[in-house]
Amino acid sequence: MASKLILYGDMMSQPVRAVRFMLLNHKIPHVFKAVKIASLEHLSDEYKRMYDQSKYIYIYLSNQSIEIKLTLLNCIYCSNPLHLIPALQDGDLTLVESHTIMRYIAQKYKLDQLYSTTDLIQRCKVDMYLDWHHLGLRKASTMVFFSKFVAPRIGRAVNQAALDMEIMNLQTSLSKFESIWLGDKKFIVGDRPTLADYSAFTEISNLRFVPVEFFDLSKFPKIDAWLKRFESFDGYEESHLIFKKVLSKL
Amino acid sequence: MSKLILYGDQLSQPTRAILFILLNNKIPHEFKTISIAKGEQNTEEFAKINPWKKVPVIQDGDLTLIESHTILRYIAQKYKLDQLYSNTDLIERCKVDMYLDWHHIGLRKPASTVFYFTFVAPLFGIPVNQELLASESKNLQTSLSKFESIWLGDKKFIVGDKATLADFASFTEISNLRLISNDYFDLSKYPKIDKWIKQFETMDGYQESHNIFNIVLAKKQ
Ligand SMILES: N[C@@H](CCC(=O)N[C@@H](CS)C(=O)NCC(=O)O)C(=O)O
Ligand SMILES: N[C@@H](CCC(=O)N[C@@H](CS)C(=O)NCC(=O)O)C(=O)O
Repeated sequence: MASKLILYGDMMSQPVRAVRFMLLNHKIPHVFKAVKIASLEHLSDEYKRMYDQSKYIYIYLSNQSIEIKLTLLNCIYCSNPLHLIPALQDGDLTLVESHTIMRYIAQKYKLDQLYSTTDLIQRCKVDMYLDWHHLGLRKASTMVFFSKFVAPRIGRAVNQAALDMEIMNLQTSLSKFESIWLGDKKFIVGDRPTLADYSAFTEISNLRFVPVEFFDLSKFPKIDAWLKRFESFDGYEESHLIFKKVLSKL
Repeated sequence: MSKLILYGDQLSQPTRAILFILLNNKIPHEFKTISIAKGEQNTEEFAKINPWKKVPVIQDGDLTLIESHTILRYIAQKYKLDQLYSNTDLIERCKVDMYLDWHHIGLRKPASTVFYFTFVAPLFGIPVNQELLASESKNLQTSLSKFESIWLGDKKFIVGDKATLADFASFTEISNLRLISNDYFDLSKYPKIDKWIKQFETMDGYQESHNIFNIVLAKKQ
């Protein structure tokens, strides 16, 4: 295995943090390449080669002393449904989609605790959550995050009708996440975190950026306790450096 | 060995994807209809099987699985349908997974929203959120053109010459749009998708899994 994994991403992106967190937690050698983009012209050739991205829109966010570069989502708000980050390169192989990337890493490095290479049913338990995640949680959480955190800072209009619906959906998602996915277990599939937890963790903890009326952890004590478990994990600090800096500015 | 039980509604796209694969590969199973129009997914009895009150669901002995993509992966691995999802080659699996993971928000979100507002809502007298319909309808056009140019490209199927789980999942979602008005889904704009769709119609299991769908479609025309 000569090649070293290269992860492309922006540490303000939830799926990027999930991949990075699991790589660091398992001490998998990799290079992280920040996709620093203020406008299309500034894209590195290297990254450009990976995709046809003529239609992507990049938004530049600046916040007093620190600069946050956020690449924003046409997947949800504009036109282009193909997402840019995270992307992973391993030699000649290029992968997109964080869940695919995480399944790949777990299987390649035999991180059976995260996603079993030997037990199909254990994999299915993780897959059920991962497949539910997109429309069950992320659709609502990204809409609320965009509308309540990003949009006001960049002066973007929001689709009020869609927002009202997603605000409601988010509360339902969180309470069902708590009662059905977590239940009385420590993690989604049992006593140990799997890929499902990493993906859900970065998506849910990201809601710390939105006002408490839309994300009130005191209403979800089991989620609160579950979130706290991650904060002492290896790799948490490094993968959440920028996240925490931005959070502290709020 | 226990027999697979598939709970679903043949007017549900993910249900059809699973049923089509089971029939295509002659996997013994029992199909139990949970009619969404009749609200059967909301009964207490069904909630015991799936607390999310959605279809499809499969049961295999003591095992209950939800989420169509998980179910498809399970079937392909259990019955060693390597062509659909390789048991031996991780990279081949990843190629299928990339599409399956993209599908939810990339295609299904706009496709199912437009379908809901232009087909289901009028049928049941549910008010239409015009703003949402307009934005998802725009997203749908982008999704379809990306599906055509990026996912299909010049290949016969998403990953190459043979249909994988990715194709079955996207086939039932995209062909479902034939039920709605041409204003929202005009196949003449997507010749590669049109050609790709036709490849499924001669496959084993197509007729049986699309019986009810085709009856409803005939009523539209
Ligand atoms: N389902 C995808 C979502 C990826 C995604 O939405 N990425 C966003 C950042 S969180 C992105 O790349 N946005 C850049 C753009 O769309 O221009 C995954 O899990 O990887
Ligand atoms: N991501 C799920 C989607 C399941 C889903 O949306 N099912 C719909 C039918 S297509 C349903 O059961 N709807 C009933 C309801 O929401 O009440 C999958 O792929 O299985």
